[in-house]
Amino acid sequence: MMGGRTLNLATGLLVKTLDFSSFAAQSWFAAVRPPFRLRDIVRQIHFIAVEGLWIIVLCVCAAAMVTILEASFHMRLLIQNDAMVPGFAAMLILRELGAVVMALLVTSRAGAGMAAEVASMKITEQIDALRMLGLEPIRFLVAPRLIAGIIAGATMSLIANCVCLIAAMGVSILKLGSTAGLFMSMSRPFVTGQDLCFAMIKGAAFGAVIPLFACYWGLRSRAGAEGVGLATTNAVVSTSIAIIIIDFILSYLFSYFY
Amino acid sequence: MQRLSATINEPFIQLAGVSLSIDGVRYLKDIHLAVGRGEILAIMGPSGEGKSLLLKVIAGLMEPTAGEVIIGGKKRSDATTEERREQGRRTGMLFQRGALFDSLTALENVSFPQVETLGRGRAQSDATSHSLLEAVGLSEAAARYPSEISGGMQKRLAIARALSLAPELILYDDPTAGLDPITSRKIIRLIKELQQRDRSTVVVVANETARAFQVADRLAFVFRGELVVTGTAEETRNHSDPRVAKFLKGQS
Repeated sequence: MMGGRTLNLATGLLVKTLDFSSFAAQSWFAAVRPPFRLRDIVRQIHFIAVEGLWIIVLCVCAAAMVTILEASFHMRLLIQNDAMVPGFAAMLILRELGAVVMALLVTSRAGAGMAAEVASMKITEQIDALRMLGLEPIRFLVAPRLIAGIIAGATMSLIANCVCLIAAMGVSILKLGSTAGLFMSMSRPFVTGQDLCFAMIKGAAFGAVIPLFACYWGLRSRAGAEGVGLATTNAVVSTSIAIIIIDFILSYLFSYFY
Repeated sequence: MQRLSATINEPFIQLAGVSLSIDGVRYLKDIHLAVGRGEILAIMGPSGEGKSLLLKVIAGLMEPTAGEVIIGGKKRSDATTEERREQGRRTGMLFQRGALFDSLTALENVSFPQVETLGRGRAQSDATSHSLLEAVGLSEAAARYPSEISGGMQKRLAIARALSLAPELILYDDPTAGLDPITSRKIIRLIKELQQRDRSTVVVVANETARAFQVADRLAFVFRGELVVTGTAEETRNHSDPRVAKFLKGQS
């Protein structure tokens, strides 16, 4: 009984993984093939990045400030010295915090929005209407969102990291008695331009998976409000898991360059 | 299936032994149907018995699991991707729920197929769209969004969009669903007028007997995925099949 259920679950997961892989491959193919729908891409960048920027800035600032405060508290407790905190914090922010927190926030806002939008289009037969006009939904809906996600992800990762560093510097000055110059000089041995590049690569990768999962679940939504809700939930959950896994893989790969 | 009326001169749509199964459930069973060029065929039958699925198979939105769909003498299974796309462009469809793009205004909804599919310029497509909106009596709603107009107006807007590419085949999936009797009558009259104007081939899924008799040259009855009978209004009215007789009398 249990074995049968596990087998069914595993088979279901395998079928879904293969289905998603095929969908992702088609989406990438559509995204790199001209003509590009520039107006749609710009509109999507606006939706993903510009409309949600203040939320991202607010949350990554808070995360950075908490990080530096906690790190300082523990360093003082253990070695009675928090001079190294700005450097560690800057490294943690650039390598992990900025991109991951940004991506999870974008998932909960833009990813959920995209999934709900596409699912609504599916259940109201708008997707069928597009197909009747000879417009492939993947080319028409997914490709512009994928390109926009990559551009927005990389850009927002850069912005999020810079904001994080500024917030961390602010807390260092106000709480740890540091100065801007001291924060910079303490950070320099730990972080380089390469870290910022890697953070942008991570942002672009996360930015790609958000629309892919959102559109995948949206296009497979079942009818009714429950179907749209389920598609949105599935999109957010699977994207969040994918972000954590991709973050691990990329961090592992980048570790060869440090 | 029993065919009652005279043979069609020039069949535009032919279904030869079409069956459709989804997840092991058979929804359409061995359907043979021919629709003549310039004809209006109404598909009737109880709800949930395969009428809309049959329309989607004709539209090319669903692939039959068996049988052949032939449009304009061309087998769909032999058609290339480009030929299928072209066939889609020459087919207009009114969906049951309208399927209007809610982020676009009425004018943009009608212009959308021309801009996206034919690559027409804004000015040219808007001129055509204005005349289509006028034909369906929606000139004054051109700048309004689908959510800002009534159900009947949405249906008329969806008809205008379906006609946007001047299709030779138009498929209407229950065009009067959820409308009051007066608006329903107006919509049916509009479908008939537009068909006479453009000489297009029309297949309409209808749930209301009176509306189907009003609009169609011939009627086809679908029961549990099977096409039971096709014939003229007179022929079907006098048909001996108890399911047809019961349906026409409004009995279950």
